[in-house]
Amino acid sequence: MKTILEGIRIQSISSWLPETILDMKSLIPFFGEKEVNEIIKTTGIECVRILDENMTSSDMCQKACENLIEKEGIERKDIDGLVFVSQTPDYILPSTSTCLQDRLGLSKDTVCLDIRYGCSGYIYGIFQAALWISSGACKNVLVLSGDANSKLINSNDKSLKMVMGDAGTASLITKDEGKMSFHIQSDGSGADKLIVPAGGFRMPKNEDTCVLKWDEDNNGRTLEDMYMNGMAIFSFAITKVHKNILELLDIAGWNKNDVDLFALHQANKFMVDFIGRKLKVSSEKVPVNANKYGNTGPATIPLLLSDICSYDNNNLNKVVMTGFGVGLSWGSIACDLSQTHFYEPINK
Amino acid sequence: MEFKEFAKTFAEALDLDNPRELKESTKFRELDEWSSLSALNLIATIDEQLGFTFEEQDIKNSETVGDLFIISSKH
Repeated sequence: MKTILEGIRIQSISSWLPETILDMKSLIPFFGEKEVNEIIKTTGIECVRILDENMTSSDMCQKACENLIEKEGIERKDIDGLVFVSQTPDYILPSTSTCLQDRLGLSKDTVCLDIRYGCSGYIYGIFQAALWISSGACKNVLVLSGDANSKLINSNDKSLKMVMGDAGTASLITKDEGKMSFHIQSDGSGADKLIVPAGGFRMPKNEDTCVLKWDEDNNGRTLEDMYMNGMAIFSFAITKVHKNILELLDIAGWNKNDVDLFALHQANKFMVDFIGRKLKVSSEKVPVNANKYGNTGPATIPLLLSDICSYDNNNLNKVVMTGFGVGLSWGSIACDLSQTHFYEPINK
Repeated sequence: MEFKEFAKTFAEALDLDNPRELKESTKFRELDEWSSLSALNLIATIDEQLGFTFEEQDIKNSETVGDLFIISSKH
């Protein structure tokens, strides 16, 4: 899917981090020094944030959003759309987005939608908001994007425990003169490469799905936990993502050397740096903050932007944002963020 | 591409102590340096130096360095 939508702008981005820090070195007693150091060396991830037991993704996003509303001084009654992007919703039903409409004190005239995507999810959230605004249906849409990955991971699975983190973000999309180009792709044949097999309706939870099993790399997990085939995901990412971006640049009519920033999904430092090299662009234009927060799923792109960009006056006339992962799904947006307000992550 | 060239790239990816000992019959999973992480390094290094990407199945279905060389020769 390739398209250009007009009359939209990302007005502001805010993010919230849990206070609890998991230092990867603290896992040496559990996984062994050699193993832990090798994983840190390969992924570049030194620590991640872990959400409290009694909180959810929507709590993190709500905190990021309250901060954004207060700092931006926007009236809650002026918000008419809310998109919640997460794989860790509050309930099977109802939608978490409608719960957030009430908790945030938004108007009952707000259209609400949950989007169940992970690492590519922010692209989908912005696309949905942009569709509502460019069609004239909405004027101000919140995209709340976050995940509590730690709740999906078995503590015996070092391949994920040393990579995935928790974070919540909020972005305000408004009606304006700007335009955005989109290029989104899907390949469901890779659905089993990144999956929580049990707990849906294809494989309901039972006494067998909660049995701990160990793989050849000595990672333990049950069918109710997240599983990632690292090799398959890596091969997918390094063959598909840069091509998606280059085709997006064609749609937008941009030269890659004119792009000010490539805000890539922060899977890990190794993968982000590698895709940057495939793009053959300066590494300074492909920033990494996965070393501090790990892979926070649909939160990584807004978390990166709020982390590295100052409040305003950024030279971000041409920005490419790219998400990739679960589905498999991958997509990119080309847009102007020079007028966007960025708020430093809370608890940074 | 000759096996020698492939073996050199393979050895570099895994940071092998004795790359000259690498033969087509070498079972790569029995190497001390082999792990799921070094497999990612192999995919990355082959991609950058030889210009093609191993799929997960390519590695999963291979036993020896020679098996991987044959797959790489087809690209």
